[in-house]
Amino acid sequence: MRPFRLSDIVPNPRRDVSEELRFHLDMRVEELMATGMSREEARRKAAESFGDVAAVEAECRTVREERSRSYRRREWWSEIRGDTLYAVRTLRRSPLFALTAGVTLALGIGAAVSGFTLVNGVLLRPLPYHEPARLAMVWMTGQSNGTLETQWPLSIPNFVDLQARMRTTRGMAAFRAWPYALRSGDGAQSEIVPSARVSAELFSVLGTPPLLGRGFAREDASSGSARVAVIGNDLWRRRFNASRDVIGRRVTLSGEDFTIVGVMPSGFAFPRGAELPGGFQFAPRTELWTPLVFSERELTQRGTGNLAVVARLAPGSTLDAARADLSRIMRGLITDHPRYFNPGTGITAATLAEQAAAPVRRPLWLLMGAVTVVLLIALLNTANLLAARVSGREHELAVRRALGASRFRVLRQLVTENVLLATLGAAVGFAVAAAATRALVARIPAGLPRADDVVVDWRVLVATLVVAIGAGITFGMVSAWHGSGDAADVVHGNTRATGGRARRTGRRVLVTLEVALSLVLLVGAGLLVRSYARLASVSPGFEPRGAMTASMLMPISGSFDQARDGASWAAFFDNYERRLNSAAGVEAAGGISSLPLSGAVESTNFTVEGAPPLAAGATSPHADYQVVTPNWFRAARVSMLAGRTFDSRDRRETAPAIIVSAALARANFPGESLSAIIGRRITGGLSRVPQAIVGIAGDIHQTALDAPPKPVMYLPESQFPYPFLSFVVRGKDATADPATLLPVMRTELAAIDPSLALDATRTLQDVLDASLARQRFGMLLAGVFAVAALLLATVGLYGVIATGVAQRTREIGIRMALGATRHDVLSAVMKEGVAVTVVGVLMGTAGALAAGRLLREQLYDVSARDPLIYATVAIVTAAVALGATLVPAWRATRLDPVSALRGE
Amino acid sequence: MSSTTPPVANDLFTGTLDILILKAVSWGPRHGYAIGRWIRETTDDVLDVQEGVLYPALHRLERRGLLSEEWRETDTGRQAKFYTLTRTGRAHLKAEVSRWTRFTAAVGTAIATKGA
Repeated sequence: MRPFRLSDIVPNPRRDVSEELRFHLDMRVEELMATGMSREEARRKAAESFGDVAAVEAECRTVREERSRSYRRREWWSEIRGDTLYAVRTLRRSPLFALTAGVTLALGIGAAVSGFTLVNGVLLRPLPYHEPARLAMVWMTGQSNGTLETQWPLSIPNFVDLQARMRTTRGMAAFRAWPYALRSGDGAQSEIVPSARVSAELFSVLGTPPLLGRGFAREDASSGSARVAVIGNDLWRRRFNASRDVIGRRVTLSGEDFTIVGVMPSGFAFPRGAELPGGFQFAPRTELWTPLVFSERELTQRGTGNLAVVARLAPGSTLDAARADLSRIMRGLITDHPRYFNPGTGITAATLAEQAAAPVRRPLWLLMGAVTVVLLIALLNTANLLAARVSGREHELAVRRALGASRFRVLRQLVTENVLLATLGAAVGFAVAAAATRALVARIPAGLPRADDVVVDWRVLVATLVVAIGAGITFGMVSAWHGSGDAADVVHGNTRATGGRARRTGRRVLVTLEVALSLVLLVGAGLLVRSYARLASVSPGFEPRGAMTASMLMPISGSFDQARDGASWAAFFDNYERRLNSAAGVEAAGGISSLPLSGAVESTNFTVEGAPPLAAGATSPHADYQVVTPNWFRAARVSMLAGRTFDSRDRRETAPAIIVSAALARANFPGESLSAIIGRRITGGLSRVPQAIVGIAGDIHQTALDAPPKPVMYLPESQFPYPFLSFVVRGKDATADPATLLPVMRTELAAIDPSLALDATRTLQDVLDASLARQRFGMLLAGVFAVAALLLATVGLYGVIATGVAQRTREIGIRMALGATRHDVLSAVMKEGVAVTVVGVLMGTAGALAAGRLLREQLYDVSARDPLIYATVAIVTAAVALGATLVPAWRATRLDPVSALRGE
Repeated sequence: MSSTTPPVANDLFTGTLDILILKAVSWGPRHGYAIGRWIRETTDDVLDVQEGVLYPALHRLERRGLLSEEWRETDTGRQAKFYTLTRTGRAHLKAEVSRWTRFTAAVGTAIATKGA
């Protein structure tokens, strides 16, 4: 047999072909010589009949080269296929391992994908407008009440001046919330639609043309022009069956006729309330737009800020340039109209994306951190499982090596196996995450900015793939490292008894890390739970249980004109309140302009009669103001600390009355008893007339439970009419579901005006709960991820101890044969678990102390180093971890030494 | 060369050479020279396949997977490359032979028809 040659595997086209042709010529020469030719003559004849040998050889070679190229390609694919099939077989042979690793990975990757989808939607995806990075919001800034109030809206004259003078923007639009009661067609029930009145330029500034019809033209915004409206896609589908005939259709908006001129594309809902600073009563999504029309009178009200403003930066301009431009114009305005601006008033701009993301950026990155930790634990766990398994497979791998598989070939096999595993895990995780994200978004509190933008997109897909493939390759490497023992040793079984001490140490380190990481998450979740409990136990200042609420809007004809329509609003609400209070089953009912804990309230400056004049540079006192009907305090059970509530004495023609909150009284009448304050007079921003204080009400949390109660003035609806009130109705039966009061509220409303509708019907408790939704959501997510992390770490620890026991069966057997007691064995195995637990808990505690700072802003009345939480979490973690070691340790003591020694 | 008719090697119908080659190895492995000689002898020297056509054809058939190749010793102890019919090659040959038979029969009938 000829020796094995390289050419047997690696084809060499050149030599192969020329040898074949030489053989042919030789045979031909022999054949010719057999007919009697001389060798010379035969050679000449053969060459002659063959023709151009070189050309034939070249042609054959070309064919062969093509062949070997496609052969190599085929072989490469078939090897991949082989590896994959082998991997599938291997995984199917150990289904328990595949399931454990797969589920662990699916959990970890699923959690990470959900978290990333949320972060991606809110923080990373561009906003759904044209070139969103060039959109900026403009706000007034400055101080009031000595504290820094970052942003408030612009007044109409200021906006008009800015629009005319800005050089760094191309297009600037104002908008304000303006709920309309929509009626389409006779007899149809009216519906309060979240709407906004907007500058004609709004749609072009945002770069979103209408889907149907047209946007607003400048002429639409002049007073006296025909009233037109543009509707949102959802409203179009819901109310108008997506009919194209809707353009030109007449509808009634709060009692006035409008013509629909356009329909916006699906997904357009600007302004979306959660993206703007709290303090504007924008709904989560806006569904209807009408042009902002400025009356002559409004164009002079420089002190009344009520316009939010969005601008598009001019080409080549930057946000900083726009800010400088704004400041320049503002300096001019302050010089021209000094009496309208408090000292320190300024103006600023922020990009729309930054504006939207700012309040949730920190919590979302914390969430991302938490899911990354869960992912990390899942990966560590899987790596550990793999390491344990490779130890069990050393024999197989060594045999493959001994049979001639190269180191690279074995590595590739392992990587293929792990990439397959990781991809399967990622696919399941991705599917779970896609479904979970949808469920999550549905439960997201309305306060989450950009909730609409949270979708699974290509970024999420790419991130998942990168994690899956990265994990697979890393695992393959780790496995290869673990399986790289000397082939001969392993085949001869020399390592079985002692089994790679260094590698077992490596696994212990990994599992210690897992324990530490899960402890960090548990501490975070624990702190959030405690903070939430503290927050939920804060008394809001009213009684949330047993009351129903609903809001209603008076029809406003033309512009908002309190002087013209106020009397009819006041009469209507007075009538409604009387009817409700005399209805069966109602204990008390009253209205308020802005329900506590449901958004912002308006605020105003005021002066106290008889107070010393303000020092130079000081600003006048400031308070929120609310318009209420007489029975509101009784219905909400807000205590009256002194004086009386409003009643029939407070009429349009009688002396203006006012009720102030305890906080206002304390701040502005220091050292005076409450009863002494009754009768004092203050002059608020709404009225130039001094109002006498008739009562002092207990403090309530108006904006949030975690913000201290602010000074509030309550004005009677009868004297300061307001067209939009929310009614609180308290039932006589405190145990009944407050929703049973709804029919009464509807019946009484219909009895006065059947065309009016109740909006935002919910219990007062729901209002309170909604204000805590963001904290509850955060706590829930943190809790779920922390528990998942602890579970994974426990499984990991159990796995390491159990495989350790399995691999040391012989050693344990020998020890027992040499006289070790069960107790000796138990403590030997437990020692390993205790070491991991103690080190893990210590490391985790240190990590949590370091990471706790990040959480500080999210905590209410709980220190980030709260000892109770740290102690509880450490004990729970230690107990669970020790529990995970106890099971395999106990099993080790049950070993029969004889079979342990005899067996594998 | 006893025949007076000249060989027609260069105007073989397309595909015919492939059939002849496959047929030549259908009884067992042969090297290129033997295949050429078999074709010449079994067609009574009518078809004399030129080497310049034969060898590229062999390599192409090998590439298509109809033939497999192997270096081995001949009876005289020399190294030569032998071609063997693969399973695909055999199926291909069968199909081509039946096609060829139908074709020649049809052509034969056509030209045997009397008339103009």
